[in-house]
Amino acid sequence: MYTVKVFFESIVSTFSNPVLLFHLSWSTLLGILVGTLPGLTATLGVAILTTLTFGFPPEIAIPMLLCVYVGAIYGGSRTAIVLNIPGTPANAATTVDGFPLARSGMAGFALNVATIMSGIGSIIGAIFIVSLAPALGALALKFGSWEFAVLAIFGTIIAGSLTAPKDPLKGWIAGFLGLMIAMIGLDEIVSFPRYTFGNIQLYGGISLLPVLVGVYGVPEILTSLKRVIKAEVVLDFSKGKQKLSYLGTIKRNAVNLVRSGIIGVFIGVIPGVGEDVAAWVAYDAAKRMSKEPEMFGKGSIEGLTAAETANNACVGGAIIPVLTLAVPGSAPAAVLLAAMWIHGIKAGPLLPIEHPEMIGYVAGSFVIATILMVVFGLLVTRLFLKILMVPTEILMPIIFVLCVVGTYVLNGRLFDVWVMLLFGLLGYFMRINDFPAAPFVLGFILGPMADTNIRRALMLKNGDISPFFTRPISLVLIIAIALVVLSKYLPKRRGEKR
Amino acid sequence: MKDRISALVFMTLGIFFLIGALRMPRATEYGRYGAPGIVPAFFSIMVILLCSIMFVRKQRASTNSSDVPREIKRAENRRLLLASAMFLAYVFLLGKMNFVVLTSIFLSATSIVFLKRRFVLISAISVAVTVGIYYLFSHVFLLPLP
Repeated sequence: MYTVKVFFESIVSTFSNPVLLFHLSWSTLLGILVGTLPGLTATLGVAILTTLTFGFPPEIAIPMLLCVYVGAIYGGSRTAIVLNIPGTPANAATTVDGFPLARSGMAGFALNVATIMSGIGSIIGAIFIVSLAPALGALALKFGSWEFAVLAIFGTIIAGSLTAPKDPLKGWIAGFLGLMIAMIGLDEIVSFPRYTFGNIQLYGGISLLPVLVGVYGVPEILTSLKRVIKAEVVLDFSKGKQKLSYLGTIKRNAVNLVRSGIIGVFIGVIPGVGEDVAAWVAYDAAKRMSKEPEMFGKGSIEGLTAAETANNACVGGAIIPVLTLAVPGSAPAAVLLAAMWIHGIKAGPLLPIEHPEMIGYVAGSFVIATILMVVFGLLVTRLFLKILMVPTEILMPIIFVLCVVGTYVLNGRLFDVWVMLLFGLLGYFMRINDFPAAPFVLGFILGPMADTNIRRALMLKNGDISPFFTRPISLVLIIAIALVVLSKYLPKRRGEKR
Repeated sequence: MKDRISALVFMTLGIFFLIGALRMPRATEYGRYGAPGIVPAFFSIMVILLCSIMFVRKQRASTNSSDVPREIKRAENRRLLLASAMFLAYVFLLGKMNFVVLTSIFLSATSIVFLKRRFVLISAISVAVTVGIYYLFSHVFLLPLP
């Protein structure tokens, strides 16, 4: 009940605070801009803004980061519809029906439908933050070292399976690579320097931000610059002035909206999986349930609705485990988690005790971000689309400079810039060989948690591993890992033999 | 073939981490289960194991665009190498040259090399953007620049 009270209070107080509203407005616009530009992901947007908000108090910085996150996931739909290139990976499913709609002269209608559905998706996400996060927080208080250790492995494996559905083995390799590389630096129990080779810069481990910017930013910049053939831009609003009812569209898609929203939230809660998977799963569900499945891929409003509702609802879902378990539901949520640490807010099971207002405050800020996103989306995004006329060859080097500067200001050392570049090359190598980045990043984030808790669990019972299988939550997670591995790998082997 | 090469690369990395883990102290003040090498050894063994499976399994066709004409692929690789070299040079020179001068040159050079037209306009935009970034970070947000 306290969370609900804080939720409403934070919405009212934001609207009565012009300074905060100003910061949130430009953050939302920045997010939409980042999402609109192909090659710039929500992760990169949140990472760059994290460096800019160092000097801000957490009650301003955290809502600003939420605004850029929500704005970027939504902004990606702009290019998905008019350019057939998803602005962020989260909008890949939007291209399937968004671009055919734009080509048929309904670009304006498709853009506005995407805006409204994204808004509704975000509101569904906010409702679940308020209702689900306190319950999950209460459950998280029952977690011991065994549960946290298994949760880290579970998150990495499930992220590997869902982000590499065609070849989960690559997803798992990426995940364990992330876990392994996270071992660099002083260990948290006996402070032994691992893989540091006497280099003092490595004693504190590798910072998350350079890794994230490197793995997500650099490969995208390199891919955009190397591309010789450019994409077609469709800015045809000729049928945009037709009397197409938005309210009627919402009514016709009510079930689809709720279903896609719920799918989005629950996929968001799964560690590391993210908005792209949520959009595809919701799109697939909408197609299977539709009375007109033949229209999917040819400009179906149902398909567009499902994808855009789910990816924005997923943002809310991804924030829930950040707040309650300190486990990110998606890559941008991972940066949000790091930003919360930077601002002195220790997310995790103790958050409801140490900062009882935080869940309600985040949910309230999420609603504000949604309102700003819808307002700016309906009013100014056509103007933003003009930026797409700026050649990639001019834009991408600027983005690279922003990545370098953003990484540098984190600790004020060039070492982080080299780390960013190194992980950028690793990310590019992984990309061209079809290894997903998300499980790698999640593994990197969860590595220290896995390390400390596995060893603590072993120390507590003098090497006895039976509590991993006798404690109910740990056992459930182990069974889930086994089911994920069996369902993804064994049927494929049988299929290959056939 | 591509899968086998990446499996070998990551397996080598895994072996490197495993050797490092085995060289770490086995006994600590918290007993042998507090040893810092336990978990890195477990993760590196998992990487080696999974990469071995990928190495020996039947090879799958890559999902990457293999139907791209050879000339385009060659042009793309040239652009990729050029971009990587320019990025490396920029990072290498950071801190050794004035930020505004270096970034203006880098932005102009990269855009001109890849766009091959509107030299004066691009140079003007590059200088303006650099000054904008410099002002935003060092004067608005009061953050240090290299």
